[in-house]
Amino acid sequence: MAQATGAARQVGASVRRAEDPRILTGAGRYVDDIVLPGMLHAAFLRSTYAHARITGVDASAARALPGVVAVYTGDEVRSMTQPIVPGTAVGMHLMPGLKTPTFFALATDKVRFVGDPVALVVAESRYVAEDAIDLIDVEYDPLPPVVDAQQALEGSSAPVFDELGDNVIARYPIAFGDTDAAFAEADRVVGATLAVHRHQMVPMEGRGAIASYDPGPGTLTYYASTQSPHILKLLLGPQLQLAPEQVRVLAGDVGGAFGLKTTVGREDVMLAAASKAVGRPVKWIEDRSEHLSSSGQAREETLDIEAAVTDDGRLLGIRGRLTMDHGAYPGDPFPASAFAGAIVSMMPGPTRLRGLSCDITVVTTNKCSYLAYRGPWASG
Amino acid sequence: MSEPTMRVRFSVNGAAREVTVEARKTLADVIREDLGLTGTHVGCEHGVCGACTVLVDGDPVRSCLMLGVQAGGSDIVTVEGVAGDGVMHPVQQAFWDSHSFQCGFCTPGFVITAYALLRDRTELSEAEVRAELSGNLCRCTGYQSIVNGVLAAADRLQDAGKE
Amino acid sequence: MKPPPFEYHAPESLDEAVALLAAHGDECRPLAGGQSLVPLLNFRLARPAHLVDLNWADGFPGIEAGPSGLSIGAMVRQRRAERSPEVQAGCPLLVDALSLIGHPAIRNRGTVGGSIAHADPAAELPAVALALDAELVARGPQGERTVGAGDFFVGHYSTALQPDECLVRVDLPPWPPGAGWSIQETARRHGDFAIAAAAAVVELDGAGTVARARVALAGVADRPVRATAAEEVLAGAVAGPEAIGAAAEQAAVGIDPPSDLHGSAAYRRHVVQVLVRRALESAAHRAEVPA
Repeated sequence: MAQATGAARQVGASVRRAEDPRILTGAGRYVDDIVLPGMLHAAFLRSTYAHARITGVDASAARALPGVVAVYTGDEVRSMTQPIVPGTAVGMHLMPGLKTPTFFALATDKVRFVGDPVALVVAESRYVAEDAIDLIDVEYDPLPPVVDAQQALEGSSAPVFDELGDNVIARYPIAFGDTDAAFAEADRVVGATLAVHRHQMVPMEGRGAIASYDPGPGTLTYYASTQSPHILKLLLGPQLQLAPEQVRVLAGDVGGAFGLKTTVGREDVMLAAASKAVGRPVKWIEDRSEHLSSSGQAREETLDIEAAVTDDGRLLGIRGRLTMDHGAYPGDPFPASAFAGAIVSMMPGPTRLRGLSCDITVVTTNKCSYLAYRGPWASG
Repeated sequence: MSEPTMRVRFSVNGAAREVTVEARKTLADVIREDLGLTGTHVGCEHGVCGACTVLVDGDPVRSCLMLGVQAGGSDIVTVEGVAGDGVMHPVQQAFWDSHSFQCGFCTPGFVITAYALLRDRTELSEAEVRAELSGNLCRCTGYQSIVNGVLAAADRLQDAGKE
Repeated sequence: MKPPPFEYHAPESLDEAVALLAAHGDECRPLAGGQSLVPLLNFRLARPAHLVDLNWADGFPGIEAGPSGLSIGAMVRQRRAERSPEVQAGCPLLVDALSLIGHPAIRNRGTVGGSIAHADPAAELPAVALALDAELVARGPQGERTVGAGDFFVGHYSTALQPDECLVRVDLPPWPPGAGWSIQETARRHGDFAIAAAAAVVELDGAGTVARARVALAGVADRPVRATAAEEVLAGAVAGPEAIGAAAEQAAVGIDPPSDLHGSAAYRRHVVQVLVRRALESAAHRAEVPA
């Protein structure tokens, strides 16, 4: 009898993971475990209004607090970073039917959700940074918040992004085949309205990173809790006018993400800019309070769909409407509007349809950003 | 530092340690920053998730809900102190064999909680294990593999006790 | 979520602690188990200028059982009380209530007195103290005074304790021989704050009818509430489905519960009726008819 080969011996074997003993004995290396010489700590001041104009920011008392190294607000962010045009790196901004707003890493003229970052404090410890946050005075002029898709579609709802004119950020159809023929042939048409509620990823480890800009060679080393080190490498640099080869991203142990940590966050941009400005490593570790309000959410979609079916159980075609509540800021480089297309594209599953036709409407609301969550097309 | 500090002495994983910290600094932060023991994790800072669980004088506690200065004179055990002489404790070994975690962020809290639980009793039903672990949250596993790990560790400790 | 700055005091005696509370008054919070206060500090919802840590102070009594009842020092850890033979024998309702508080790690630090003094309207121990007509003993600069549970809880997180007073002891009357008890709670998950809870103690007389029933509710108002109308329905009645059902209905009718993220007022009213019924059924079932 021939000896089983190496490959055959693995099939059916219980294979333990190589990283487990390290993690089990407390030798994991998540981003908050990393300490760099000269490292400072950051905290964000976040909006307590869902929708408001910022009419004044006074950070003078915060800057004067012992232990505070710097405070950046909307006034400084314009000169420290490039405006964010989400999706530019992958050409998403060229997508027909998609509007692309421009904004900065910190709120400048408006806040658009509870948790919108308004200022960044860099200090000797997170404790002192939070003390400084308490000392920043922001004047807000509240605006009526847009709380759901229905309200967003009403012409009278206040636009979340003034420059877009209204709250429809994307409108495009996806169609293939001959849907009209499919429905003409159908023995019956069955329909449903499916509403999926808002979800949140909530990994046990929130977001976090250490930005370490070395002014000598002009390089940025970015330690991140991320699923996408290459996206950070490609996209962070241009925000600070650095070439990708000047940026190095390290992702060590990551305490869960589930789709949350695939984009370049506004916090990432601001953190890197702050490190560049102070010339020292700056660490930002999101706390649970920030995480729940500001990190990212998902899946708030409504599908009004009809299926053309035959009496012998064949699915001929699907048509309908998808409305997606996108929150305020689009993710970069994957705006939520792109996920809407993914939902519809995944809808047929393994079925060969004669036709599919779905109109997609994506609306902005005064909520946290819609980001990916574990198969963001799952609603389909 | 902007605030007055205090000197605190305690025993950590069997070794005498001393730190100088602000009174408002939580035990979790003192363990992670001043003692450099980063195995204990901070998940919620309000006592809900259990990722920060350590033993203080033998009892599992939420280190995010204690001030470091409150631990003066105590015996603290963190996840780094559970293995002995480079050999993993049966709880750690069982978690490894049972694939009891994925990202590992909640794991130190579960290790400490299970370690303390099984130190006191090893005859446990699955329902009892679930009840005793209910103060530790995990977002990756769905808990079954963790429960399996604890039950497997309980079996091993029972067998070891009989030898 | 880091605590704001405060001046930390570690008095070595109860008298020293009281002197500090007197000196700093409203600017000062006492720290017992910390399981309620430290989260508030982490959220910066509490910003005391002074924190008086009671954990180092000698002078708090322990657990004492005697003919006049069960006495539990305010700084006794919840877990210790839960496992104490004196408490198990002298107040089984308290043992059951303690096991509903959070999780073991919370109860390893949380104290019996701390939970009562914190007076969360949805907490178990204030409701149990009210159900049992406990007496709360406070010490201030002028000495000790006793406040009945009925007068102790005055509003949201608000008790009869003055800023210069510290809760020292919880005195529970002797457990009525043969009394049945139960605490029923609904929460979204095991260990969460109760959406509503009902604690019941039922004593039967020689004829098997209810000699005395006491029912207290948590989560239905800004403080724990005695369901006195429900108690009156039961007095002298047979503790069967009819009287219990009527009592439960009375309990629900007599409250004006809040609506919040976890449930509407209507939901709470419904839930209270169910919980009171279950608590009374269970308590009546446990109660023994005296010989």
